[in-house]
Amino acid sequence: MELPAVKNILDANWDWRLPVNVENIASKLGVKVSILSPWIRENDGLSGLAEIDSNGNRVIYFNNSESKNRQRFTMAHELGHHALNHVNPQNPCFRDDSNTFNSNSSVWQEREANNFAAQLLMPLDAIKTMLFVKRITNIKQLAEMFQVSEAAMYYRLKNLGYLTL
Amino acid sequence: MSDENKNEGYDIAGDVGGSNINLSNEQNSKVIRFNVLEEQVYLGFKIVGFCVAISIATCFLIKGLDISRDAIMHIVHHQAAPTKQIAGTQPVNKSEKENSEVKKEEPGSMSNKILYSGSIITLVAFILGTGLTLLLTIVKFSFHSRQQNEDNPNVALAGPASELFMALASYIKSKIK
Repeated sequence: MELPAVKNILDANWDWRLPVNVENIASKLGVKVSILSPWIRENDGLSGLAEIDSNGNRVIYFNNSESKNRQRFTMAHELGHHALNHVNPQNPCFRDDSNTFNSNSSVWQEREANNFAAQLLMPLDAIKTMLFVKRITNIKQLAEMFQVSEAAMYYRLKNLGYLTL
Repeated sequence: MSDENKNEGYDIAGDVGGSNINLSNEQNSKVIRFNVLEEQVYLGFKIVGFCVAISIATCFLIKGLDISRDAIMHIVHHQAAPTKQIAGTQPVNKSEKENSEVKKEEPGSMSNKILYSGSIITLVAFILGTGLTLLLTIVKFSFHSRQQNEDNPNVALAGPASELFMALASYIKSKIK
């Protein structure tokens, strides 16, 4: 089932173009997007970070040394932490290393943020258009169009019930 | 429900993904094509089902109304016949007073006829109502999403009033929780 938060965000902020512009959506939601500084030791091994800074601004950071698709997914994932209120004054910071993006992540916030990211980057309407109208059924091709990894596309299609292997 | 289990039931689309997934594109494409085709056929059947249900419902309604009209006319005819007969066999030497009484009864007799036909109309309306409810259920299911909340504890009922009752029941239930 699609997350209502994603639907609302897409309805209000998505320009119906592919690939989904996460940075643009984040800025429309008032979330600042920044690059993780490689010079800070604490950032070693991190893929992304979602936090509320000292001024109360919502910020997401991503590691720009990773692949483009991974960066996009990280941004969407961190945006999910903000949109789903995982990051709040009581819990102002979420640090995500590569394990949190794995489907085996045991923390429910991470799983929910992964779900959010998948639904944001691969909107249901766009997937349906590709499958039913444009007749594209190749995972690699779909992944390229949505600028996500093949694995992400595989899971998305599986969750939507189009891949029943 | 524990925090860890909150999202159980979903395969989460991790960008790095699991290592055990089968990304054989040819095989996956075949499966996707099949599922897309299956959904299209399902949608086609839903459209056909909807059109057939609406057509039958329309015919049913027209036929029901026609039968109701015939039933009323039949009763009116039968009730009017003895009156005419009585009127025809009236003795010629009947007083003017008696004749005027018969004439006075005629306008009032229409309401009696409607009163007598009431039970038949009720019966026809009941049959119509039952049939239309069944057809509405088919129509409702043709709009029903395939993957919609399977864990919905509410019993599926047809009609907007029942939806309202269900929403009200859900609201009360949420308040009690």
